[in-house]
This record gives sequence, structure tokens and C-alpha cells, in this order.
Amino acid sequence: MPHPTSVAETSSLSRRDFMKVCTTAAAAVGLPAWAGERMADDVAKGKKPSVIWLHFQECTGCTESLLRTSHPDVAALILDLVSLDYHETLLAAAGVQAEDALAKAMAENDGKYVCVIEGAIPTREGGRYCTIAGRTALEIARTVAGRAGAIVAIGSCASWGGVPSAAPNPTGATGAPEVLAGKTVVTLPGCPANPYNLLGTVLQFATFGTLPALDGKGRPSFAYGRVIHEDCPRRPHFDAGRFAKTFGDEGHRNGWCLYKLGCKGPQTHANCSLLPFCEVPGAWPIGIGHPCVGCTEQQIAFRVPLHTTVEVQKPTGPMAYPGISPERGEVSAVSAGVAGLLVGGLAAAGYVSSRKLAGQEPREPPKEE
Amino acid sequence: MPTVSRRTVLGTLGGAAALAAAPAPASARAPKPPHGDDLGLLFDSTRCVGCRGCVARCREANALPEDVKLVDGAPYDAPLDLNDRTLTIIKRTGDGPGDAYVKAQCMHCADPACVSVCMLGALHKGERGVVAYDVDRCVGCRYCQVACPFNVPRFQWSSATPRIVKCELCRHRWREGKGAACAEACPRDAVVFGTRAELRAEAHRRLDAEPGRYRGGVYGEREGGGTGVLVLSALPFTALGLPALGPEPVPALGETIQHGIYQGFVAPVALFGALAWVTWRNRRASGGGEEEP
Amino acid sequence: MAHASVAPVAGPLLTRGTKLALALAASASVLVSIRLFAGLGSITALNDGFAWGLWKPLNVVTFTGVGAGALGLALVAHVANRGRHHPLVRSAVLTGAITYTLAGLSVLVDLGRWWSVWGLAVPTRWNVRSVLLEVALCVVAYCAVLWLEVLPVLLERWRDAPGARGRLAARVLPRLQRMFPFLLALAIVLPFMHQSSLGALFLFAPTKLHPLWYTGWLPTLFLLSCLSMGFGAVIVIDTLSHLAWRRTRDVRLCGSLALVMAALSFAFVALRVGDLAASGALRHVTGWRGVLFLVELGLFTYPAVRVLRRSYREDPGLLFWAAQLAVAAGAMYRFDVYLGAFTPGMGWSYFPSLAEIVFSVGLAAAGVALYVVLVKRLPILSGVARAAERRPEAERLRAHA
Repeated sequence: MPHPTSVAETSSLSRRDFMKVCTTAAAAVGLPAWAGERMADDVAKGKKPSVIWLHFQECTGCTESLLRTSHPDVAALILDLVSLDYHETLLAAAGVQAEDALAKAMAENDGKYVCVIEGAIPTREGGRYCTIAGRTALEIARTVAGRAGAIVAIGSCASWGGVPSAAPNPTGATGAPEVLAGKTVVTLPGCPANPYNLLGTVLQFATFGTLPALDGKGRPSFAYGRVIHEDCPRRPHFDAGRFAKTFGDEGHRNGWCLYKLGCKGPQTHANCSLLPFCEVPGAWPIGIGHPCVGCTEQQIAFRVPLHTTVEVQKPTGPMAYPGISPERGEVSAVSAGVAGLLVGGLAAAGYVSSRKLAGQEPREPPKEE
Repeated sequence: MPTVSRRTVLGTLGGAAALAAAPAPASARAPKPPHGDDLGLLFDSTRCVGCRGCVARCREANALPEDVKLVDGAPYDAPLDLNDRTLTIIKRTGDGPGDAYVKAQCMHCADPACVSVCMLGALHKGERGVVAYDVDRCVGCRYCQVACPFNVPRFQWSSATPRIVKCELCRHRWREGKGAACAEACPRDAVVFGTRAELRAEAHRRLDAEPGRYRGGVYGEREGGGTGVLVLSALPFTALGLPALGPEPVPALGETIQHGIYQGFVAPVALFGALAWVTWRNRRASGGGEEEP
Repeated sequence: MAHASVAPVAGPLLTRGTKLALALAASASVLVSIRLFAGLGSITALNDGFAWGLWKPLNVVTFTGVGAGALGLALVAHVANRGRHHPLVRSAVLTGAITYTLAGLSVLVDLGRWWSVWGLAVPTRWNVRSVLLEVALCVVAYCAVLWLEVLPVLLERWRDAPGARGRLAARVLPRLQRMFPFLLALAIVLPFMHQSSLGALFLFAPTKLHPLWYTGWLPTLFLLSCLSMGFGAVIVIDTLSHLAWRRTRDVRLCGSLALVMAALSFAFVALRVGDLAASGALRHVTGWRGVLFLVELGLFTYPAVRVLRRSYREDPGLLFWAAQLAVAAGAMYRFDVYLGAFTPGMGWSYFPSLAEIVFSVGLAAAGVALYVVLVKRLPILSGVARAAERRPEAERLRAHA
């Protein structure tokens, strides 16, 4: 496992690998390929962004998934690409030494470092439910983030509270954006978040000093602009009306749409289907035959029961097309009957009355004026 | 007793017949040819894969709600045809091999029937050749629907304040430098937005590059006096639901006849004068104005 | 002249008949109020393929065709100066005024954005290329002209009244009479224009009108057929009026109109068949539209041929029947062009909804009620009630003396 202070030495990766990862990250953020090259060059020149990583109320799942990436070793790459100056899980130091490292990193890169927050922040009773070195999470977050150049909240916990905030939320757990109100916090919700989304965001900041375009909830549009349903590999089955109805039924075995099993894809903003976790294609809920649980969405995850279906917000048609001249227009039997009776009645009345008239009234003798 | 003979009335009727007669000078109507810098679309049905991205993007760009239907318990945006909330739609000619996807929307004729018949110019030729709609001038008579040979204009039948709904080539996006949203969405260049000159060049480039792929030239170059939307196809155009139109604009005959009759308003005024004179003379001959109508 | 015998019918206004008519009109107005809030689709079967339904060919084109009797009599009685037809003029003009008013009302109900019609009064907004604009303006103007022609009937009653009404009548009547030649000329030119244009409307749908009906002669055919059915309607209404109130009448007046009607019908048929033969469109006489075409021609031809015989056209019953057929012929031609032979294709079909039929019937009933009320109170109809005058022959002779 790479040590934060030994990133340079452990790097056994070629420039080729660097380029590959940087370009992938650049592509994820929506930057052109040359941006990836520039990132790689910057790293080669030793210009690495300083990152301070804070842990609060969480399961360390986001860090774990970051470290569990497969070949090429993205974890190593991330750690090569950035200067990870403080990270409680990966830090060799402990106690006072660790706190010194934090203070030093903040002082050296004052106003320039990237503050990554993992985990929710408890707010009830002054935040006493999460305390590190005598300081509450609330205090640490405000201090460290207050002097950062960019703030990234990774995972659903840091983004909006995540599991710790689930009802009844005894600690008053909440996301970083609420605690750091007034500051721009890039949120990367997900349980866990996709490491590439972090990489892309951090590299863009390091290389260009800018943040990717964000939506109203601070989520980068490149990753959270579309709902799972829009890019779902099972989408054709939805469009054709082919649904798995129970786990293990024929439709489920055939890989059909999981919507009716409670898939939250239609309302979940994330790019899981486009950017596989840990480079393993299919390594995400829908890929393994489980409906999307909506882990990125505050309104869904840990709130809506797993197998409750959600409304489809952006429906498009089934894979059946209308013909050139579909039959339209109705002929109501009732009105046809009434029309027939009216016309027939008028004609009959006219005929009968004219016959009667012909019989009753004497013919006028022809006369010339 | 009659002071005016039967011949007079026949003469008057003859004048009337002239008023309503068919033959009229061809000069009554100036041709309205398409311009090269008119904006339009090229639809290449051989390239369309039926993804309907254009339909979805059109809704987005024009802020139109989906036409949602429940099929097997699941909701779909599945309009049957152009309708009061659908400006463009992808249809399919058949179900077998050799079938084709067809995109329907306003054809933006160079000399449109809908514009000719519209009483107060609600439908009019706007800038860059677009057939534009001005709801404030529309009285909802729906003559445009009767006259359009492509059955394009749609009416909001279930609205108390209905309007005509039809494609306007996303003209509200032009000042942002954007063209038709449908063309933007097309992943296969089956729908291309551009000026008529560009689109014709592109259509002919495709025809020349793969002559075996297409059939029947470019629909809309001449049909109905030229349309802003050009179509390429491997099937006969009638199979795509496009009417077989001659090179004459659709409103040409009607306008030639009507404008011939009413040219300078000479015929109606002359008839009016003749009738007033005859009636006046008749009444004087039969004892002045005593007789009421 | 026959005017001596023009008098109000008198009698109670609220009879069983007028009550029924008012009830029908009331149900029509209920439908209108639904349509006002829920849109046209709520009560009609109209669709985007058949954007014009029952109301256009019936309420507008057939009603005004019936009202074209006013045009026909204006030509016969004033231009050709056949003075003896004057007894029919007032009834025909009133019929015209009522039918054109109903047509205007129906159009207002049919217009999706009816509140925008004010634009028609602003010339800078006009699209002068539009045939429908010409129709709309002509119909409005002609409707006004028709009521101006009816106005003297009312003013004459007021002339002898004391006070303001009498003074007003005394002032306006002579002016109206001086204006009369111009009014009458308008009353001929305007319907010539819009009745022909009601056909010209479909010149602009060349791909949708069946080839048996689509021709450059549509305006002329509509003009001819409005006159033939107008004359037919004059005969029908005259017969019905005299039947309803048992009044005396001169059948020969109607008989002579039947001859004009026949001439117009023959002209229509000749132009129609000749044009189709010349253009080679007669080969389209197939299928059920071919049948429609033949029935239509038969309806025009049969009464025209029969009334050529004097004994036929001077028998009130037979003449009545022939006139009804002539009206039906004109109506059928109109229905064919507007609906039967209108083929938008693309899978569209249409049949009027029950509500559309009820609205049309209610509108017609309102017209009949208005006619009855006006005829009972104003001197419109010629002849006298037979109950009072048991010697119609003598009355008629006196009238012509």
C-alpha cells in the first residue's frame, strides 16, 4: 500500500500508463485529450496538487473502493498524481505527529490545497458525536475547508448525510455543503463514489485551477447530468416492455429491465453505466442483476424501500413505431344512427307532405299574363 | 311590363360567370422560388436508425410535454403522429427488410398553401424561409390544416385557448447561435440543419457518392415549388407518406384563379356599377322609389 | 301589385312548435358553453385530418345556400324586373338574413380563437392572398346588407306610430329607399363573391379533394349550385309557410322560379360533366365516391327535367318535391366537396359527433323560430289566411288586377 510520503518512489508506472489514466480522467470530466497530456506532464514536473483528506462519520467505503481498483492500479495513480499530505486511513504517523502533518500541509499550501471530506458531520449537541484530537468534526471541517483552494465532498455521507443521516438521525448528521454554507463544495455522491469522478475533478483543478461545471447540488454535470435510465445497458428491454418481475424468473435470467423490481435508475443521477467501478465492466448493481438503489440521491437512498418503483421522469417510446398512416378518427354508431334518422326522416316527411299536397290542393289552371 | 329584357339578365349573368370563371391570366401570380440561404433540414431516411433522439430533443428545445401512454404498465412517450404537443416524429414504413424510418415535421415550403390561405397572416414566411406562426393573429379557423398537403399543422383540440402547433425550425434558438434541435441530436447525420444551398450540396454529394443507395433524387428540390426540408430515400417517396407533388406550388392554381377574378377589384366593381344602374333604371321606369324591396 | 296582401300572420308566438325549437336551441347553447371551457374536442369529433366537420358544409355552406334565395330573387325581381315575383322577395330576404346570421354564429363557435376575430376589422392585418378572408369579410358585409333590406319592413310599421319611432322611421325610410339600387347591387355582388369563393376554398387543397370534385371551375359550380338551391329553397319555404298558416298563394310564381332553377341545374350539370370529360377525370367514376358523384348528378338533373312540364311545376305537391330535391342536390354537392370527397389520407376518418348534430339542429331550430316570430309580427308573407278569405282565386285575381 503506498504511503502518502513515498508516492514518488512507489511509482512503477510508465509515462504511457500515466497518459492513459490522465486521458481517461480528462475524458470523464469532458476535457480534450491534450488536457490529459498536460496533466501527466505537470505531474512529471513534480507539480502535484496537495490534498488533505478528512474522515468523519462514515465506513471508509469511498477510500476502500479507491484503493481496490484493479489494473491499471488507479489507486497508485491517484496517489502518484496528487500529493496526499493528510489521510487518516493511509497515514503512517499517529497522534501528535499526524496533527502536525495536517498543520504543516495547511501552512505550506495555504489557500491552494484540495480539501476532500469523506463522511457526514454530526451537528447535534455541538457536534460532540465525532471528535478527533479534541476537536469536533464540525470545527475541523470549518477550519481546514476554510483555507482550502477547493473542497470536494466524496460519497453520499459527505454530500448530503448518507447512512448516518438516515431516520431518526440521532447525531444530526449532515453533509459538508450544509456545514460549509456559502462555500463552493463539489459533491460526488455515491455509496461509494466512483474514484474516476474524484480523479477528474481534482486533476482539472490542479491543471487549470478551475472546477468542472456543477449543478444546483454541487454535483459535476459530467458525472451527474443524466439519470441511470438514460444510459442503462438494459434500456432496450425497458423500451420493448421486457421486464424481470421476480428475482430468478425468466426475464431476470435473460437480463431484462429491472424497473419493476424497484430499480431507481429513472430518478438517479449518476454515470455508473458509463464509467465502470474499478475498471470491471458490470461491477455495479444493475450489472449484476440488482435494481439500482439510488445511492446518490438524497430523496431515495435509505428512504425509499429497495423494491418500490419510482416514476419515470424522462419516458421515451417503446421500440414500436407508428406507421405512416395510422388509423385515426372515430365513427360513433349512435351519431351515425341519429344522422341517418334525421336525413331519412326529413326526406320521408318531405315526400309524404308533397304527396298529400298534390292530392289536396286543386291544380292551378295554366294561365298566361 | 319588364323594362329590362331577358337579354339583360342573361348579360348580367354572363358578367357574373366571368367573375367566377376559371381561366385567368398566368401573370396574376408572381412565383416565389426558394432562396439558397433559406434555412432547412436534410432528412436522409437511409441513415435513420429510429433512435428518436430528435423527438426527445425537440420536446426539450420547445418545452413540450411528453405524450405519455401506459403500455404494459410502463409509461412511454409514444405519440401516434404529430399532434398538439409533438412537432416531429419518427414513423416506420413497414416491418420487413427494406423498410425505412421516416421523420415527419413541417416541410417549410417555399410557397406554402397554409400561408396563402391564412386570413390574418398568423402563419407567414418568416426570416430565412421558415414558415412561422404568430399566435396573436390566429383566429383558429384551421384552414391551414385543410390546405397543407403534408397534414402538418396540428390544433389543440382540448384547449379553451387553442393554438396551431407545428415545427418552426427552432427559430427561437437562432439568436443563441443554435439551429434545429433535432439535427443536433441526430447521431448519424440523418437529420442535418443548414442553408438550402448547403443542404442541396450535401444531398447531391450523398447521391453521387452512393448512387445505389438512393432512389428518386432529392424530394423538395422541386416538389410543390420547393420545400425547406429535403428528403433522401431508398423507397419511393410516396411510401414515406410524402405526396406526389408537381413543380407548381400548391396554392398556385387557386391563387391564379382567385387573383385573376379579383385583379384590381375591377370585375366586382364593374358588376356592382352595372347592377346598381339597371336596378335604378328599372325602379324609375316602374314608378320611382315607391316600391320597397 | 301583390304587396297589398302582405301582412303579418299574427297568432300566438309560443306555440308547441316554437317551444320545441327553443328547447333545441337551448341544448345547442349548452353545448356551446361546454366547448367554451373544454375546447372544440370536447363536443366535436373533429381531428387534425378533418379540421372542418359537419358545421362547415351544413351550418355555413348549406344554410347560406338556402339563404341564396334572396340573391336569386334579387336577380329575378329587380334586375330582370319580373315584378310579379315581389310577393316572394320579403320572405326570401328574411330567410337570407337569418341563415347568414346563423352561419356567422356557427363560424364563431367553430373558431378556436374566436376572440381574435377583431383582427378582421383591421386592414393592416389582412393577408389579401387569403380566400377565406374574402369570404369572411363578404359574409359579414352581406349579412349587414340583408338586415338593411329587412329593416324597411319594420320601419313601415313604425312610420304611422306616434313619437320618436315614427319620426325615426320617417327619416330613415326614404334614405333607405334612395340607397336601394346600391344596396341591391351589393346584395348581388357580395354573394357572387363569397358563394363562389366557398368553392374556391378547396382550390387550395389540390392533393386532398377527390379528382371528381377538384377543378378550376369550383367557384363557378358553387355559384350556380347556390342559385339553383336558393330558388329551390324559396319554393320550399313558400310552400311550408302557406301550409303552416293556411294562406293563399300563387303556385305559378313558384313554378316560374322552378324554370330558372332548372336552367341553373342544367348549367351546373353541363359544366360539371363537360369539365370532367375535358380533363379526363371521368375515369375516376368508381367506388363509393363514384356513386356519390352519380347520385349528386341525379339529384340535380331529376327535378330540373321534371319541372320542364308545366303540369308538374304548377302542381303544388310535385313542385314542392322537386324543390326539395334541388335543395338536397345543392346541399349534397356542398357536403361532397367539404367532407365526402375530401380525402386527407394518412389514415384519417371522421363522422360528426352527436353533439355536432345537436348543435346544427339547434341552430336550424333557432332560425326557424326567429323566422316564425318575425313572420307573425311583421308583414313578410303574401296572401291572406284562407280561413278568413274563402275565395283564394278571387283574392289572387284582385291582387293582380
